[in-house]
Amino acid sequence: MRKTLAAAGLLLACACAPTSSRFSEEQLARLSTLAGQVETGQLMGHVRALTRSHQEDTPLSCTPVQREQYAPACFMTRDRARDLMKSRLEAVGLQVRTQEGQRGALTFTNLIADLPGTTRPEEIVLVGAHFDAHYMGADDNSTGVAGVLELARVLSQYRFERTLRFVGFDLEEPGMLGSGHYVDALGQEKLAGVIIFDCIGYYDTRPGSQKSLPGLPAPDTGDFLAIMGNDHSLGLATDLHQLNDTLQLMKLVSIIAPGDGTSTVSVSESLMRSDHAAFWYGGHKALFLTDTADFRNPHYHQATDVIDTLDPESFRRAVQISAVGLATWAGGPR
Amino acid sequence: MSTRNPLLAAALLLATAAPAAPRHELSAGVATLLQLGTFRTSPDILMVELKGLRTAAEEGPWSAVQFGGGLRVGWPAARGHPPLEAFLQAQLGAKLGPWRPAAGFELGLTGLNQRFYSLVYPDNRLEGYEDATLGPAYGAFTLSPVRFQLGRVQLSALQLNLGTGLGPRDSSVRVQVGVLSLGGWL
Repeated sequence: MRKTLAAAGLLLACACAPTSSRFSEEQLARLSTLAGQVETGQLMGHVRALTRSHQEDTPLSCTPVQREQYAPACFMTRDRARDLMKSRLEAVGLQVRTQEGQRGALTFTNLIADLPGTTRPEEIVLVGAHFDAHYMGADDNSTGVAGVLELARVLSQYRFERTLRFVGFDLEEPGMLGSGHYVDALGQEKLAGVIIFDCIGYYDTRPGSQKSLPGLPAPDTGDFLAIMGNDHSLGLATDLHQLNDTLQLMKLVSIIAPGDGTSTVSVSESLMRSDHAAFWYGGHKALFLTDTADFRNPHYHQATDVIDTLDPESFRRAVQISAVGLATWAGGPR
Repeated sequence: MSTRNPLLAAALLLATAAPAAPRHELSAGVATLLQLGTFRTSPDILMVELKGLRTAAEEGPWSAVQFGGGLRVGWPAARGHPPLEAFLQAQLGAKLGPWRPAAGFELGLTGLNQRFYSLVYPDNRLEGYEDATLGPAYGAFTLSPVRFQLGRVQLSALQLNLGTGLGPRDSSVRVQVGVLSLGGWL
């Protein structure tokens, strides 16, 4: 019943190939050069340092209910990863500010670093990832944080019309506390586009390695990057597909939820499992980029989510496609 | 009236004296309700229903149409809301001997919107987002395939109401099964 409703309520846009590109040859050449600056070594170096920081950190306290019903909750760390992310953003010349909040007994601190736009600085293109993790959290979500850090390094070498914002969200795992607070505090700030990374480093080319999201068909080989969007962010997803088709980076599969993506159907839960949910509920244009986490990765929220399980090449390509999308939406590179 | 045809006069007298077909149906029943949402479901809600329907016409095509409304009270109650639903219904029925299947729609206001809350991560934001989308107005399609009229007694089982919240961002699907309903025609 629930699956039937889900299938009826969603549009599945799978590898929506465009017929013509809106990007000029010159622009594509610049974007290709920019994408080429994304380095596997940098990405994996960040992941290595982040997983080590989680391993050496002290887990947040957990309740008897958490211990009994969901043991990974008792192995959640974030403080050292946040410090590491902050220092690495500063190392590429960005000023980092913190945004603190509290919900219940939990306090949290987001990290925000801006590369100011040249002509339209009030318009913001954001890329973010959560830095809290269960266990060592290699795929979830050291890959996402590493992606943000590498994008900060590459994109900060250029100038863009709009402001590029790099964000580390705190406490996604307990229910999007950091991103929810961030969206609440946006005020009049105008977001031109948002990419959220959560688990972008695990790929498997063996048939049968990919499970379908409940109620939605999907390829059975886990060798693609999933893009989850809604009607508001459909244009952003189309841009990524067009750029990817031209630059031939990697296999993309997009799932576009109807309306603002918060519809009734229970499959929405599968599409809203990360920080982009806060942006969708806020009515902002946001895409969620993911390897689909536990629909592919057997190490999800396990002590075995370690760096050796990642596919560095596909991971790099996922960050490259994000780099060209962000650069385009920001009005650059210049 | 001519007194030269006593048989016709008797027949007309009998017809005039015969009671009109009853047009009012009153019933009471028990139903269960499950609400499905973006992230969570409701608990199974047990409801007791009182309903009144009126047939639109005594005869002709409109005699197949019924409209009316009712009240339901449910358990468990949603925190901060009266555990009540008020609804209006219209349905189209068929008369196949004692079998009276019917289908229609329902519009109502409910105080029974509720969802399970996470015990593992009680401070999460998603539940609040979903709760904020829930409104009291709902609409539903109704189907009563196992419905019988025996004289003035009305019996119905396994009535299905499938509906949705009607708020602009409502994220609720209602699946209601009427277990048993017993009523009479007045």
